[in-house]
Amino acid sequence: MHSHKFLPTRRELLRLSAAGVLGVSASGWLDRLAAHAAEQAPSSGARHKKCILIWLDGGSSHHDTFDMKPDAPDTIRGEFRPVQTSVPGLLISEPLSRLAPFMNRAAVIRSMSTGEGEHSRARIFMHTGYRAGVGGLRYPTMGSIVSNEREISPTGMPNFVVTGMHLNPANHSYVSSPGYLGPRHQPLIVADQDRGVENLRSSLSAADHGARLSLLDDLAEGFLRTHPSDAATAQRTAYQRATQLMRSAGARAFDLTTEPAAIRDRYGNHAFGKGCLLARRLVETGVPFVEVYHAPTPGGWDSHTTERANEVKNIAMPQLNQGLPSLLHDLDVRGLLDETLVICMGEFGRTPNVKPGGGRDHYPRAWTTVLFGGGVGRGQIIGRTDSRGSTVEDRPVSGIDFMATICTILGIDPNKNNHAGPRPVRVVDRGANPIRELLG
Amino acid sequence: MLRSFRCSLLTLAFCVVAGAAYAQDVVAVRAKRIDGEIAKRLQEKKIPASPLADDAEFLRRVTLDLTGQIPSYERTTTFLADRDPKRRAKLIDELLESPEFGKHFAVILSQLLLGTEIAAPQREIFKGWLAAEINKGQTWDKLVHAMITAEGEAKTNPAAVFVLAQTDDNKLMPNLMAASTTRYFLGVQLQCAECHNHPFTNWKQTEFWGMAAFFAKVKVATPKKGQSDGPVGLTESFAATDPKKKGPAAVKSASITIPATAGKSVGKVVKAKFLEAGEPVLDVERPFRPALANWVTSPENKYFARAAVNRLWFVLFGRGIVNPVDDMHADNEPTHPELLQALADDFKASSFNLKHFVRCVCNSEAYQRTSRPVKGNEDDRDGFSHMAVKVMGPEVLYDALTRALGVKELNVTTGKIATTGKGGAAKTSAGNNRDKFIKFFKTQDADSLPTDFTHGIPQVLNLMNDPQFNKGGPVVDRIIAAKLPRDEAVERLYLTVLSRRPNSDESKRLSRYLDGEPDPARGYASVLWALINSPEFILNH
Repeated sequence: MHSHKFLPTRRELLRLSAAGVLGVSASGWLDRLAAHAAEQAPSSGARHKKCILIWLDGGSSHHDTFDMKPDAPDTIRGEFRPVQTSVPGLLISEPLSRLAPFMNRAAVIRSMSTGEGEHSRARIFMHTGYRAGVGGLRYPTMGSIVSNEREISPTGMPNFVVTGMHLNPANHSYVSSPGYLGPRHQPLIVADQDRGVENLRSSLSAADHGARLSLLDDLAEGFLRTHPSDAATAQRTAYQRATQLMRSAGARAFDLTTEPAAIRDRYGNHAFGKGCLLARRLVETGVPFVEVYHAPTPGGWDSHTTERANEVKNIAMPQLNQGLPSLLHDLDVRGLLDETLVICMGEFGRTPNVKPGGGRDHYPRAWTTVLFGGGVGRGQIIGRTDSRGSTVEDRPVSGIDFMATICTILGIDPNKNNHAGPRPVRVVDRGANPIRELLG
Repeated sequence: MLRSFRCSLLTLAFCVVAGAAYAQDVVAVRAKRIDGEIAKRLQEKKIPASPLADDAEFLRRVTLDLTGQIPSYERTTTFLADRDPKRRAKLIDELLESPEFGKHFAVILSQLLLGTEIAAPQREIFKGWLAAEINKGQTWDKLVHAMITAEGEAKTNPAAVFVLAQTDDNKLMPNLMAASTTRYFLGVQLQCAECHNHPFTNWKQTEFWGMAAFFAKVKVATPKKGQSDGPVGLTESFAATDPKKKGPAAVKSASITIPATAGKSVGKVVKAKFLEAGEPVLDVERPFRPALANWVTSPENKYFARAAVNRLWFVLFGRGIVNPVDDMHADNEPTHPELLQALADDFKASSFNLKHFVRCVCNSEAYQRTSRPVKGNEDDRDGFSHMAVKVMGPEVLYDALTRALGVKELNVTTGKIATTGKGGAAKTSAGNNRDKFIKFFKTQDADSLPTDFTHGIPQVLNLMNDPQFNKGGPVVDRIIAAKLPRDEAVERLYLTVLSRRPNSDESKRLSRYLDGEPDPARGYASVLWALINSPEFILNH
């Protein structure tokens, strides 16, 4: 809590003050500080890989998606037929066929084995790499871990954005919890992409708003001079960033109406498609982590019953088959796919056996996650389940192995210690084995 | 009959007056003791102390700290005109006796004690109870005893919400109960010993689970109705051996088994044991928690009073005498050990009287110093040479904004978030404007310091660009209706929003701005906007 990493402002202020930047009134301290920050933009940030997490809430069936068992009995195979992909021998489910051309840019991890079979605990585990309740701490979600490692962007754009419908902080705070890293690593949440970032524009004319900002600058400057405190400088920094975002060309990324209608249609006229489009636009402007939350129905991917399974088949799968390939295509043609890791996963897999009444239950013992791009996806298949998809036969990947792999791909040392107050806490818990065959 | 009645009334009145006079003396002595200890340290370190705050700064700070509200325009003008030498002490007494005192401290304490998992209705019941108890002068030991031992439902026993809030995924967790009890009532962060031995102290994992064992028998008393509302009642008043009443199966003695989530020593059975103290003899057929509550709240407990005074000091000064505020152990030295001891001793001597403690501190020079540093103390963070600049919590900010704008409530359209329950249709989250605002502006967590400014871009954009903050409001309407001359209008805006008059530089700058604005209403709206967006407004300095 005490390492004001993105607030070098006290020192910076002193420096600015010494340089005579502060104390000059009239035309705006905010502007000057903003310009100053832009000059100081860390060039190193550009080398870092970015990440888009496609979160299939509720847990998708590995049998029905990326670990098909076409030769198994009906009760295990399920209703979907496999299709060939750009990787010989790598079959995926027909409802996701538009992903087939992209599988040579994917790494399919078929040997996830994570031990958490209850939604809430599994969501927390797969988002943080720590089991809920361990050690009396709240651990940061993946996006907050990345945010903590990246410089605050001088363009005013946030480091971590979460988007998608059904975001309820009370029930789903795991999606957005920065845990012990503190609120400055909270995501900017765009719950409704049609509304974008609210209040990004003033209702006043640009001239009026500018005149007011200048007035505010002058009044605030007096307070900062007499009360040089962390809180006052942090407040000014937040205003500076918000003002920058208002003026930032990057902020247009939040406005999907600027995208041609044909492209919006290609992603799909639903929250998930809009989320994927928003993710692409944000990554293009340099936002390092975007989570797109996919739960188009209250049950999401949680296909316990025939009714739920039909919702997955008729709503969730077609949406995924529309939004995700569009995202991958656009990242690819823009040359961004190699520097952007796209993770597609939920909190666990589903039981091998289709229930007599239809649907499948939770199954964390053997399941699948898929990584696209990020410089690692080359059509690999990691690990193997048995003929029923019920146990891992080769190369089991635990929750912490997975987390350490993601961190390593993104250039974050999983063995590094962060600090929860006085207490050192590893980015990823001890004992993790990153998937070496992906890391080259 | 009548005579004796009058007589006893007179006697009573005399006693009250004498009591108050005695109390005032005591307050002055305690405040002097505080200042003596702080001055001693500052002299040792050769750090000068800043002068006392002026009346305006003091009024705003103490009103925010004790009632969670900025002073009204009227109170500000009367206080600034008051020439009574005892006006500050009288203001402190006035604020301590207002119902807002209990309400404000109930907000602070409930955030701490309840965490984030508890359902809103139960949180509200708890806050209401705590506010009323604090306002009627209930002592801290009794409040804590009630919270640790409470049985039943929130509706009938609001104190039970403390234990009911210690859940994970809607399940009551003895480990969380132990962690919160030690952290918030004893100022000790034992929770990392849940999974392994404490890295800096002698506390072993068994020390943590020994405390957790006191909560081992707590179970849900009332089946939950909704899917996601969590338990509504709790009990441990049942016979563990009664086969008809199923308690947690493992309770055959006053002990707990270290569960699989806890890292090391999984499966080990740990007996109920007080932290750094003995194992009490407990009857397995009876509740365990009263023994724990008696030990925690005893005047002999070496942590209890120190934890409370350190926490209250932290709330008022922005940092504790021990920091982190709830991480007291042998290797974590207080900055002012004698002061901490004196405060703890006095708190015990006053029977753990919260108002008495706050009264003594607020009457000290240390509390009444300006937040402006002077040459030589700019870098002092822990000597209390000048007051820290603190932030407003979301509840306080909402109330301050309504008062600054002169409105009854804000119109909150932002931050509306669709919610869904499993199996239920998506719906828009309910709640009134104040709740929605608080949710949107709640960016601090349990580990945040009172001096951490944590608003992000969405919060700033809201304050800058939501039309209700840049269009003026009733406060401007009244200025226009009264046809106030410009100087008076600006002064009124300053007194309303910042509880002070503008200085000459500010007056000049505003004059220049207003000269360029043909419509006075728009001009004053701009001034109002700049004031509520200024650091001086949103910070408590």
